[in-house]
Amino acid sequence: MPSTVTRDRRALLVIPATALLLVAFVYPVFWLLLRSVSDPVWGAHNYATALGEVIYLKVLWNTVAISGATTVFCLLFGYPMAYTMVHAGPAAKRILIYIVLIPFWTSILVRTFAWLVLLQPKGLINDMLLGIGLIAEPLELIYNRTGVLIGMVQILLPFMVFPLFSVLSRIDDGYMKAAANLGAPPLPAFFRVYLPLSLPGVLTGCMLVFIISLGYFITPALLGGRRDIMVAQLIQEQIDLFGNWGLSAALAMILLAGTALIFTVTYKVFGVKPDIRA
Amino acid sequence: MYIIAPIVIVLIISFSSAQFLTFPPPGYSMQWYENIVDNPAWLRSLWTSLRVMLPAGIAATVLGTAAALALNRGSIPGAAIINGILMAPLVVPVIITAAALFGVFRIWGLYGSIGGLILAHTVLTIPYVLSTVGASLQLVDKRLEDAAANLGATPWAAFRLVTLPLILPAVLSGLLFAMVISFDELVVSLFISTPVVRPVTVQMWSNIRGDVDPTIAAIATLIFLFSLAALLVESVTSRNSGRKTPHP
Amino acid sequence: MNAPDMKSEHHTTPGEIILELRTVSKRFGEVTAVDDVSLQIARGEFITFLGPSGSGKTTTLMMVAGFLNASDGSIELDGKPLDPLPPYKRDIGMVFQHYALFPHMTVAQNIAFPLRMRKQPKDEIARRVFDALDLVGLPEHGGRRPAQLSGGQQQRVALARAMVFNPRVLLMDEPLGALDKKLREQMQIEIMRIHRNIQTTILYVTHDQEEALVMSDRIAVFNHGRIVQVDAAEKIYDAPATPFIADFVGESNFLSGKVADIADGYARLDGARQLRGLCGADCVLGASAVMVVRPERIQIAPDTPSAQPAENSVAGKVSDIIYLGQARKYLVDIAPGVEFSVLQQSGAKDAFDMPVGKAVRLSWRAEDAVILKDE
Repeated sequence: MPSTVTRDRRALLVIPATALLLVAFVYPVFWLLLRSVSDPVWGAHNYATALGEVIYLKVLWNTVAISGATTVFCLLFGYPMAYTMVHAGPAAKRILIYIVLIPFWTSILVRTFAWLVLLQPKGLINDMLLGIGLIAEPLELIYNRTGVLIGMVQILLPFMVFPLFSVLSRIDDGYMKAAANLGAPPLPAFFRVYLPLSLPGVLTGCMLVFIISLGYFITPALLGGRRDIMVAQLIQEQIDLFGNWGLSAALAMILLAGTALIFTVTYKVFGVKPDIRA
Repeated sequence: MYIIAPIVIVLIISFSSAQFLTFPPPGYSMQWYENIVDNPAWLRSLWTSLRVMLPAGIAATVLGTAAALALNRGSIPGAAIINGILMAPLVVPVIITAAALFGVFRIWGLYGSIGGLILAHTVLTIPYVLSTVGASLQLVDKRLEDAAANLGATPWAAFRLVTLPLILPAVLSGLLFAMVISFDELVVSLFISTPVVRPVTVQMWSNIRGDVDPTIAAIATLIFLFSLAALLVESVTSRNSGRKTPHP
Repeated sequence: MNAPDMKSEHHTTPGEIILELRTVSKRFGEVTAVDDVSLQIARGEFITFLGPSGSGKTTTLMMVAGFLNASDGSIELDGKPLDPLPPYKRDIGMVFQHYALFPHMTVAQNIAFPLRMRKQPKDEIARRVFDALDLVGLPEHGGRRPAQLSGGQQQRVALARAMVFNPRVLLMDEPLGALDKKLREQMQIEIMRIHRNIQTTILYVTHDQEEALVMSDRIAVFNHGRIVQVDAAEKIYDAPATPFIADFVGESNFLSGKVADIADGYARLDGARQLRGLCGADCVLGASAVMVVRPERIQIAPDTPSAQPAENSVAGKVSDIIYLGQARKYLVDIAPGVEFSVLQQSGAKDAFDMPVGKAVRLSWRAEDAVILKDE
């Protein structure tokens, strides 16, 4: 039928992009994941190594712990920030949005480098703290977990703030007024009315920050020490230094499975539709 | 403060007259920018980044816009799955993409080539174009296209005269987005590039890990200004479009 | 207003058929949205598709416009099947719900669009755009953007754009739905005036029964994907074919029972009251049926023991009085769970004082009631 034909013709436009993705993304990822059971010989030995040896388990645990801590800090900073943004006047709101947006658009490498400069033993922060006499010795802010967290939280904060902002701006002022009218003081009103209404934003934000953290590479590699190595670095080193495709692929598979699991749980259990657009 | 200060400090240090990353700088100079201009490695890497960014951004914009149009307007069996495939590079941890592309590109002979970088960056940026243009298409009333057809416009004329002008701001911002992401991309480039063909982010990465001097601050400032310019262009076009396409 | 004259004219002399729907059906998966619809529309006619939302009227319109394909049946325009033609080759004008004016074009560019698509010469386009703007009373507004116009003005532009290329049929999909009541009534008259001037065939979709009654030569009432009655407005109102139509078009009172007796085109419902009315479609002896009476056809008077019961009369008690300005509406309980509504013109001579709780008697003539098969 005619109009179906025209519509079907437009449907064909999806083919080039899909074909490209299948060849240059889906196939390579499957190729990689296949290494996990075929390299150097067929079997589950790579998984046995990844999940059985203490050094690798330690890395996986690091990854989860750092990601978890990053998420918590992002929420602690991000929620008040999003709240302020929503309730600021139009001009202030604009400025605040740009303050979040500008770093978001800035290369992660540039931002990580900035922290590298600031956190060094002779960096600005230590200089300042020494200068005002708060500390006597330079703090070890870099090449350890503190550095990784400071950097990651700052870099991932927008991923928490944006979903929160979009959810909070949709919460009608009327609810809080109604709560007050019904006799709830500000704090109980906040915890019983506002916070529950904002949960979808909290969940989306936490999920985003957590899964991005899990696969993070640049920041931990530059700001972390040997003891804070995360799974992405491990994958990189295994391939780059040792050509150990099998183990890397197994680690990649574990990382991917973890990411997919968290994605699905957020989506299915909490019924929150993850909006990956920022 | 916490969010914006680090970048500002790097910006200031890039004009430092000191040999080290001291702050505040004892004086100001352009020496680190001159350093970039004098150093063929930096220039070459900047040139490489540009040569990757433009084709990749354009390819991603064309392919992503076409796909967004098909997914939003055509009735496609398995549209959700196709959408999932096209958005996957955004969800799959980039380290996995990097390792995977490194693996197959070596087999295909694309490792260390401009073509390989363009291909990889196209794949990585299609999701951004797709979601930007897709969101904009959802805001364009489908009935406008129906009205165009009803008034005698062929599908191509309807697209050219009605749909495209209305989604143009989103298409342009998708293009900008794609180019910025390509320019800023490090992880995949790190895996699939070689010292001969090396984008500026990879060059910066290898320098950071060695001796850190304010040249890197200067490069970082350039990269930052590029992103900032893109953001400004984006916000101007989207504000204009807001004026042009008020919702009925 | 001489619209009523036009109506009877069209009704008595149906012109040549311009658009014909033959056993048209549309199914979406399991759902049948349009079910076996057949209809002939005469050249120059103003026909309205009236029905509740989801009754298939818009779906039918979309099939005529070519945005949907019929699952079954065919649609012919001027004796030629439309089905193989894509929307842009159909030459059928359409005023969309919410107008669908192109926001990035000026008013004049919007109106010029169909002419550009038809590759008309530039000066011809300019002339016709000017004429169209003049016709809808917006000669000064060609340079504006749709967003700078009021709802009513946007409506006029949409109308001008749909008419400017002299389409063979003009479709209107709830064109006045977004306007407020005053403006809506004004535009109704405007559209009727334009229809009279340009003599085009108009197929109008609305869920507003009042609008349908005011504007149409004929009304096709849709329900559950079917056309349940096609008739002139007065016929739809006075002789509804089903209780659904009686309820949907205007207000009606219903009494159910069994058909006890049929004679001379009249039927009687069984029961103590012996109510008589015109025998409507499908009124069969012994079948369960409903009697339908319009509120304004009922006389209301205080129930006094001495009053002589008329032919169709029931006793009741006033439960509510609603003041409507030009009329007063009485809600009267006539049996447990059965409430009649009665309309009395304000200032009527025989208006008695009947407060809430008052025992009253309702009566109506047999020819003002219709007995219809129960649905």
